[in-house]
Amino acid sequence: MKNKNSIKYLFLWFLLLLVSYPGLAQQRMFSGTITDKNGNPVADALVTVKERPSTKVFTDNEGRFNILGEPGELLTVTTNDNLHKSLVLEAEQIALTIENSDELIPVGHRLEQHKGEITSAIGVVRADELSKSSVYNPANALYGKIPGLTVLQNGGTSWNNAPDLYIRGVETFGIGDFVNTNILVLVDGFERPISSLSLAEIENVAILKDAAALAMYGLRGANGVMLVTTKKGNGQGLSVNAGYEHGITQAFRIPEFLDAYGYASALNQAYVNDGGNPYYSAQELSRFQSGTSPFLYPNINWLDEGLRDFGSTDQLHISFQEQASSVRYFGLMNFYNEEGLLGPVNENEGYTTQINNFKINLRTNFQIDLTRTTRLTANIAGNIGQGNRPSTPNDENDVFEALYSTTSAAFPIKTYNDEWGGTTTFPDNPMAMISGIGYSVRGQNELMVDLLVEQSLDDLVKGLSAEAGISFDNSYNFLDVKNRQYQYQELTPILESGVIIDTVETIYGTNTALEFSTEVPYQWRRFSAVGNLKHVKTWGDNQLNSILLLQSEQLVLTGQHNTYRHLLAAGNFHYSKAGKYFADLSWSYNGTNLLPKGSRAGFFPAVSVAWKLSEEDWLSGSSMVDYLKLRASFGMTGNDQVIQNISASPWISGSGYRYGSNNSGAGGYTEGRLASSPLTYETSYKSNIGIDANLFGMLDINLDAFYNKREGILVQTQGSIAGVMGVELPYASSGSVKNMGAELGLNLYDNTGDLTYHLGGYLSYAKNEILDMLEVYRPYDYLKRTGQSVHQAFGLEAIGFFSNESDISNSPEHSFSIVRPGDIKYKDQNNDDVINDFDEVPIGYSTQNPELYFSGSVGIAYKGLGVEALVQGIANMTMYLNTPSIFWPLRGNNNISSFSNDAWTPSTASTATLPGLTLRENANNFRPNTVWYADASYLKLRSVELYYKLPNQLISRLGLNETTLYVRGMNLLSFDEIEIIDPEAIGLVYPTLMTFNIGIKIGF
Amino acid sequence: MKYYKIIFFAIGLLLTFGCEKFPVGNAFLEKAPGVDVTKDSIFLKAEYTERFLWGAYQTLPYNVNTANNGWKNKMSHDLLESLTDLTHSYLSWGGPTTLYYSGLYNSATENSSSATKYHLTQEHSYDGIRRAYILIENIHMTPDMDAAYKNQLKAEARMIQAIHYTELFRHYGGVLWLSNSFSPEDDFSNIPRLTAQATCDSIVALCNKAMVDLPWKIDNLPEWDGRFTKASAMALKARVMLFNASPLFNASAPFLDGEASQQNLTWHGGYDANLWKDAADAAEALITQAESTGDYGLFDNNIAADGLRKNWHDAYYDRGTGETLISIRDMFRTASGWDYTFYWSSFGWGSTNPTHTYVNMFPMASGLPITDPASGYDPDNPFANRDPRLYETIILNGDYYRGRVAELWIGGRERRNEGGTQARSGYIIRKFQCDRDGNSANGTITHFPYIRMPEIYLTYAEAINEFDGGPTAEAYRCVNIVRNRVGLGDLPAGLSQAEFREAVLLERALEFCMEEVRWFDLIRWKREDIFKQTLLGMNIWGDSNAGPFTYEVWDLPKRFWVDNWSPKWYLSAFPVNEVNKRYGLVQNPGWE
Repeated sequence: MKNKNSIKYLFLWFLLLLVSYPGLAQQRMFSGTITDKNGNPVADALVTVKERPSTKVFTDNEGRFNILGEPGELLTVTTNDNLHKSLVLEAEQIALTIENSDELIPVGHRLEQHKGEITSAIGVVRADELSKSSVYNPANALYGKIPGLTVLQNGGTSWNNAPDLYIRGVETFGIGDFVNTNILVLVDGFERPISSLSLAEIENVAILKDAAALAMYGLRGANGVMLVTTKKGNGQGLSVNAGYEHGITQAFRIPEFLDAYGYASALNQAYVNDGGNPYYSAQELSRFQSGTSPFLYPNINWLDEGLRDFGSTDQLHISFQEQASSVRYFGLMNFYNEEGLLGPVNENEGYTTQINNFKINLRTNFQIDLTRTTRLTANIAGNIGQGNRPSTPNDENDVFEALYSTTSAAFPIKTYNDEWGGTTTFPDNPMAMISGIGYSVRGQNELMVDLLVEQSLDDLVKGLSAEAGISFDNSYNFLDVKNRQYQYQELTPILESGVIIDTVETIYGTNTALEFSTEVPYQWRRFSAVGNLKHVKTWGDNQLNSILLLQSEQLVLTGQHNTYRHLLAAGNFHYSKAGKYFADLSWSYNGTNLLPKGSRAGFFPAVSVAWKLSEEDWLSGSSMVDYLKLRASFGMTGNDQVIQNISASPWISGSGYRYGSNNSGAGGYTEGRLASSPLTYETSYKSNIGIDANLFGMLDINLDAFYNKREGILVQTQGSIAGVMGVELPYASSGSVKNMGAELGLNLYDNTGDLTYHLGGYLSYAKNEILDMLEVYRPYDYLKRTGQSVHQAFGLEAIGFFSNESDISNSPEHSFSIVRPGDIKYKDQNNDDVINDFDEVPIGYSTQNPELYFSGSVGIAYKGLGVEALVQGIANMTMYLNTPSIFWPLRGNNNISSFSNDAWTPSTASTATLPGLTLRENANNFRPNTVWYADASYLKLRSVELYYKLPNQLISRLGLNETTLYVRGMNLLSFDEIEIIDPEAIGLVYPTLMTFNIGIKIGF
Repeated sequence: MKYYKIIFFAIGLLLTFGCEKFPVGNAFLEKAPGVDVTKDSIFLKAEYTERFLWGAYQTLPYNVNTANNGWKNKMSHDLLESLTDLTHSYLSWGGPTTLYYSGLYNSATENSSSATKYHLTQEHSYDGIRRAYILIENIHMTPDMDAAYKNQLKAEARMIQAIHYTELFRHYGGVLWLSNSFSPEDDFSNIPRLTAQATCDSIVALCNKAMVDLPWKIDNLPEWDGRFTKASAMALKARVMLFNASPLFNASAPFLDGEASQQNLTWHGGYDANLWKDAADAAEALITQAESTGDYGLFDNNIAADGLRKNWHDAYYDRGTGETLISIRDMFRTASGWDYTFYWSSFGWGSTNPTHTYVNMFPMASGLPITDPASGYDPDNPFANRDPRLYETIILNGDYYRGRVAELWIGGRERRNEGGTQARSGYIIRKFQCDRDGNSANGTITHFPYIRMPEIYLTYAEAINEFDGGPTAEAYRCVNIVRNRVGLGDLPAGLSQAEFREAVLLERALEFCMEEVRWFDLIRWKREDIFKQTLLGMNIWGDSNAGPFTYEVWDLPKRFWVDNWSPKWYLSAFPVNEVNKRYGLVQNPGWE
């Protein structure tokens, strides 16, 4: 069948579905009142009758409504908080109470369930909570917002700053650099990056944590799923909201590097430690100190010169929405602009080299009731981004690598001949990299479209409905480079008896004009088709919801073997009895093109039950317990993130041989890595128990505990196969990891008159353990990675520093390199009198993710004035401080920071915490050990906000409603051991930022 | 009638998922047609079958570094020669400095280090053996190739295996011998290490089998020089048999006791003089056929006496001359620069500084050693009138260099200061570097002359001297052929067996620097005395090229084994991780 035909059929099918049936009715007027748990009226709630969707009424300020209907039809109430309740029409007077457990929670595949009857472990955060952050990438608004979700910040500019996301820690490990711990992120049911959205368009973010919630994601569920739902039209009549925010950004922490005198003294010390003479004479040292020869003996604080104190952000959004009779829509435009931290960026005629990021997000979400039984959903979103930076070879981090690595004493910014300073040792002049090499413009265009038709089939089979749809996304990235080269001059003083008698000037490189080049480094396309049948059956006080769905996905990335395809069939039966007892059976059958025939598809079932105790007679009257539910689940889900193309041995063309007398080579073929067989997906067995409770109407408690076991993890086989095979060894799907932990959420809230407050905290704990990884033979048990956490830190245990040669000769032989006084002395773990790889022991915790992730939030409001704050921290994680210049000094022409102030010298031997400075390669000191492993724990003040809601009488005169002014600080403080740099980003990268924002939100 | 909508819906779903773009089931999940090659598509075409063999040739050992990392990065930018008395390394990260001079080498080092002298798996010997087996096992499928040519390719594949096994044999002793291309499911516990004697026999059997189907010489040299010939097989056989007959294994006692010695993996269990005879016969067979056909021999283009240097340079450097019996190829030099790291590592980084000890080994041009009072050697003008091979092996102060003269006095352009890594010993290597002039070497392939004809002559001379209890006339003739080519006179007559043996070993040292001969000569003769020597360096003091120069001989830094000698250094240690997989690797003596 041709493609053209398939589109034709699709249209035909849609048209058929549009045919509708006229209803025959005996209408009456029903009226009622809607109140919340405390008896307060619920205003502006949407009231509809399912059988007549074109009729929409909203409750007034007293919570009252009148609607036409017919006995036996289904009345549905939806509030603006997404609370949702249904009632079969009987009496003409209706009194309906709606409460928190009536909230609709996304449960995956664009389905929603009432919070009160969910049997699985799902965590949600809603827009009002997210909007307390000022961010570019919405993922950065998620720190500490959902129990079970670990969000770890990374350095880098705003458009590169994607935090690592883990749900319930990790329970798998990749091979080498291959990452298989990615969670699945879905926006409105389709896989899309969350970074493609702006925060203002997000209604809620949910994470699916246990098998009951994940089984329907089959091969893609095992690492957890994040559901991002965008806003739909709400409320009666057109409402327009606008917000503007101006932010001042500042580097959160910049490491302090030694000045020229300090550097030169350290270098001298290193020379002495290495057994040589000081490099700089006392006279030269004093020239660095006094600054009398600024060109020959410069003292440059590159970070002061290269960076400005503050950058800025501006963000403006306008949204409009309505829930009109047959159309529900939400539209949004969001503008974002950020100006970076570089200092001298306007040195060039006609262009700036400032790091800059500008982006417009657009979205229109429509739901249209085409007929009485047919609803069309069309979501169209896109973004256009553009950024600027100096045209360094890789990215803007090149500039920061130069700023951090170039020593204060290296060379002047410009010489007295107005040439860029530089030496053959330090050819990259950081200031020239900022303003002397041209600029690059980066752009991104993305379009994301989905179209769905939902057809009620009530007329055929009571309670049946069907849905079908497609989505198409495209992302296109380009880079326009305008690059030029600069020449630099090296100044070498010629000394005679310490006096400068002449200076040798040497020019390197040439100044060139700007040259243009362009590239399309990256693009992707994604296409999905979905269809489902839903059925609701009610008898007595029983209800059974059934769903069967099919989904087909295709993702095409740049490059060969970069097409990812999945086919999914999944289903769910949700049974409830008397509003107290709930049970779910979920399943999926999922196939992927990443795996070979025979092992590419898997069946993943899960069962779960819940018991809502607070509905039982013996508890329903309790004044203490407002809501109490117990949950339990068990089931399976999978992970198909495997290295591509390893199920067959590839035969590789290339590297041949050179016969004869000419250079021409004879091409060769060789056998590639042996086929990994059987190759299959990872299977995760997940079990979970949980409690949801509300006490006294003011304390929410949520407690979950889980035990997971992952099998079929791809591992290397070096440990089990002889090394003399003579070919790259295959991988095997035989690793396994167990993962267990718990989450606790507490939230206390109350409002007494004009005062409202909330106080809450989340604590997530996840600890994993490798059960099997076909580990290579380890002669001692303490060397074994099996039994430890994934990415457990391993290293040598330092027991001090060698004080002198006799200390060295009286100690076990340190076999990595020849040791000198000041080098690290290690503990001989196996008492074999040699320090080697066999003396490495587990140190601290995993270097990948923390075992503990926690947060606390507080908010108080009095009348319109309020304050909000969020702290978040991690514990039980270890980091390896191996960043050159910042932690590892001098060697390899690197810089030295204040971190090295406590380096060993003969006179400070008793108090030193770091080994002696050296310029040599030193395999003894610079390797994983307790000196360089540090506690990665931190506690951060993520946000503080002070806001003022203008009084109604004032703003109504201006024709406004809901206008808020606020000031907000983000990432203000961190308590940690690292101190000289943000413990979440210790690389030579664009620093993490703290921001101070002032903003206004206006509703029309 | 009400149900027609359901039916339409179902049809709609089917059409959506069922059309070509989204076929249901496996069809959708099949991989798109790619450009991947399978084993079958290789052996179903003669051209690809050949290319597979070329891929196996690629694994052959190469003496110098041609890459920064991975394949062909030997000893972390260093060379085996720097473990001998001929050169010394100052490369701070190279294998000699970090592992051998420091004495830090052990069996755990072999687990991961790429700086050891011969790693069990990282030298890709077993890769070459496997590739050869795959060719031998599958070439029968190739339709468009005649049987004779298939046999020739198989013979070439066997030669690749024989070379790799020879290397393993010389570094480890008895080897783990694979009999086919294994799969991970196979049981490796049935593959024990062969005894040293069985290893030699198996390599010889490979050579014998290959000899039958290999051409005696390559007809189309401009195109195919570098492929194996019958002469290659005969030469390798002579080399491996000489090693096997030497005292390291062929002695009345093992060089060091241990489980491997007790199992005769690193010792023959006794002395057998006939092993020398076998080696002599193998060399003689090749010499006889080479001389009778005139196809192989010492390269000599009959140029005038002052061209002896050039003549000898071309002998080891040029291809297709009939001198090199096994020529191994890798990278080449291009117009844009020096394509291989050997240049950088041996020159500026100091991996291969020739020792003054080695310089002293070269006789005068007359052939008399410098210690002979009649030689005319002048310590104040030490580089005059020496064996021409000295000038082509080492760059000496005042010799021509890049269109001028080399300045190796301290402060000169080649040796800026006394303490630098460049020319730290006072000398720089010239062999394989030639003039270090990118233009003159532009486009030339540097080959590794794995075995040259002089080695066969010297092998015969050495073996027959051992078997007969002294030098024969034929033995003298063979050594003199090598000496005469560079203008040295004949060896003095009437040498004792021991004197003759030393003369042959010296000749090998002079002829084969950088060709990985010296190390194996030292270990097979268990030359503890040479390992324990303190090696010498040279400082030349002077102000300009005009001189006058003063020559200061100094002691190079002591290597660990000078004061801590153990015979365990003769053989490498197996990686402890491999030994612990318990499939038959018995650790070598002293490394347990």
